[in-house]
Amino acid sequence: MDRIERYLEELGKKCDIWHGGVCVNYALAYNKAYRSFTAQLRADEEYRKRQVEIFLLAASIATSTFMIAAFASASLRALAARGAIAVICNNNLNRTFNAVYAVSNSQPAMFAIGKVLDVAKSTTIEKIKKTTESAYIKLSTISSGDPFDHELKLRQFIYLSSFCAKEIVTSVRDDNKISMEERNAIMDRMEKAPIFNPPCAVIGGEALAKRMELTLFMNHILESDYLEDIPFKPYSFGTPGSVNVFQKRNLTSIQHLPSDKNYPNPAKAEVHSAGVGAHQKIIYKEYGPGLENYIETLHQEVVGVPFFKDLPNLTKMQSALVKAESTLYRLADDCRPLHIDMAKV
Amino acid sequence: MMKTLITIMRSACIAIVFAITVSCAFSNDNKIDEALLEGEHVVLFYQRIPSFASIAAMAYNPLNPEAVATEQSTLQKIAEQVFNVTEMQADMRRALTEVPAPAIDANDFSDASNAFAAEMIALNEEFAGYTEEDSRALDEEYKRTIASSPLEILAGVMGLHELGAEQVAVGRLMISAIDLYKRADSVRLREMGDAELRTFINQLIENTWNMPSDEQPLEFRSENAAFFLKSSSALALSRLPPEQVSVLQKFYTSPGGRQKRQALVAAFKARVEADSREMLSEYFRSLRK
Repeated sequence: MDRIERYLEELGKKCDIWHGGVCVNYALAYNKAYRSFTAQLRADEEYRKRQVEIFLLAASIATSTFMIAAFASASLRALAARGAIAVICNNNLNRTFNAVYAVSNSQPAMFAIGKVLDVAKSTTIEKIKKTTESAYIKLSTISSGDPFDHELKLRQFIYLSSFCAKEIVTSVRDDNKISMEERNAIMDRMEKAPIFNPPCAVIGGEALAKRMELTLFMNHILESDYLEDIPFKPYSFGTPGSVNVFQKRNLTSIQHLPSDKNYPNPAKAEVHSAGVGAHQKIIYKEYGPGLENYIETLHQEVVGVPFFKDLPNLTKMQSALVKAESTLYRLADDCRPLHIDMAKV
Repeated sequence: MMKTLITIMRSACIAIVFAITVSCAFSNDNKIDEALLEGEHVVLFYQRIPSFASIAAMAYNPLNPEAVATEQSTLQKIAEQVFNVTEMQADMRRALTEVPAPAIDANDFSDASNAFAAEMIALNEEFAGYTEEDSRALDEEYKRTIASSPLEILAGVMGLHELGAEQVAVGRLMISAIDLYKRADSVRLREMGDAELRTFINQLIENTWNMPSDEQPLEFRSENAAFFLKSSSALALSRLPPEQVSVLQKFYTSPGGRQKRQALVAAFKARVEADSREMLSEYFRSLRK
């Protein structure tokens, strides 16, 4: 049988493995992590709405699969300013991308075609680019954290990648102007692309879900710091006036990681004869004891050490942020795509 | 007979004169004590304390003070009952009576002290409308005209800055109280017996009072409160006529005046600490239910 015919026949089986293995296991674990995480944070509706990208990220590192990294990347990298996204992109995705993508700007397409563009001649390159663009343009842009939507989106990604790969090899097959040498070089690369190499390892659903969930919580902690602008406040020693605890505060979410040299370091407030001068202060979202205990157990289970327990009381949240960042590095390191070889093209 | 009568009358006169002298001395002392209480703003400092509960809630959870609404309102209600102005005043008066007053005209001292008190209130009201620029300008003026002057020295000898430092310590204690109930180990508190709780509270008060300055929240930093009160006192003194300033100077630098001031501050501290202890014990008991 011709190499291209064999490829087309095999591709169907490979996609079945992606669907039946990674996709389902991932969807199950994701579903579990999602439900658990959102149940813990049920009061925090706003936060949940912003979680879509983070879920993709968690999935990417926890499954250790390049596919999800690639799938997630397009939007993730745009958001990679801080938090878990930055940690993972610096430690995980970037290395993966650097290792895998050298040519194309279309990262999702690399899942299907690998480094084909390296070996194709200019006219073929144009054709391939057009094919990938028209295939991936169909990729849903719906953003939702819902596990079902997410699974469908993942499946769609595999279908479109498979479609794209088929289109390319058939067009190569049907193009008489492509030399045998170029055709073979293209097929070498196509056969090394991730879609043609589904991971053989079984993903442990339970452990996967826990890693995903811990990633989500660590990211949540990294997002719990705010910079508050406190205006000048005159001193008053005797007026028993009450303070409006619901007054509007001037808060900005901090966009830097604790280790970043640009992390805010507010100057001490100036103390005048008549009051405390305008100043900035870093404040943290507090976690209730219930949520703290939950994170504590999860962290102990996944990483092997408690999270909050040994933090100094006075600077608890400040230290928690530093620790969350280091846990994310650890998770990223532990979960750096093990199947990177499989993804090599 | 006549002689006896004269002797009796003379004795009676002496007794009356003595009685008048004693009662004058007593009322003189009394007037000085009242003027001192007024000038040192003891009631104002003390009355303010229960309202710290809302500031403490905000300082504890700046993003979501509502999350500690129960703790805050419980503390405030208890503090309003425990910090009893009438009882506190009786305590202060008792402590001051035990110290003899210096030889000073009570009326003059009373006038000067009241005038100082009025200037302090006026300053407090002025400050409320201040911007940071106004405050900077005031700092400059202070540096130029008051710093290191006898007025600043007198302000340091007066008791206000110590009372203010004590006052805000209760705010810190309120933050700890809220925190203790929000922490994961609050179960331990709920299970404590009365004796253990007493020891725990004493320890907590000691730690709160001795907290290093840079660890104290800005809202309740004793060092800052003392600074504001010292400089405001000096500013208020600068607005008084020189003769009133010298009356105050005479009182506060006399050994008797110093003793009175010390007795006042000590009694205030003892009262605030005792009330804080009671407030905590009621608070822990009420949240234990």
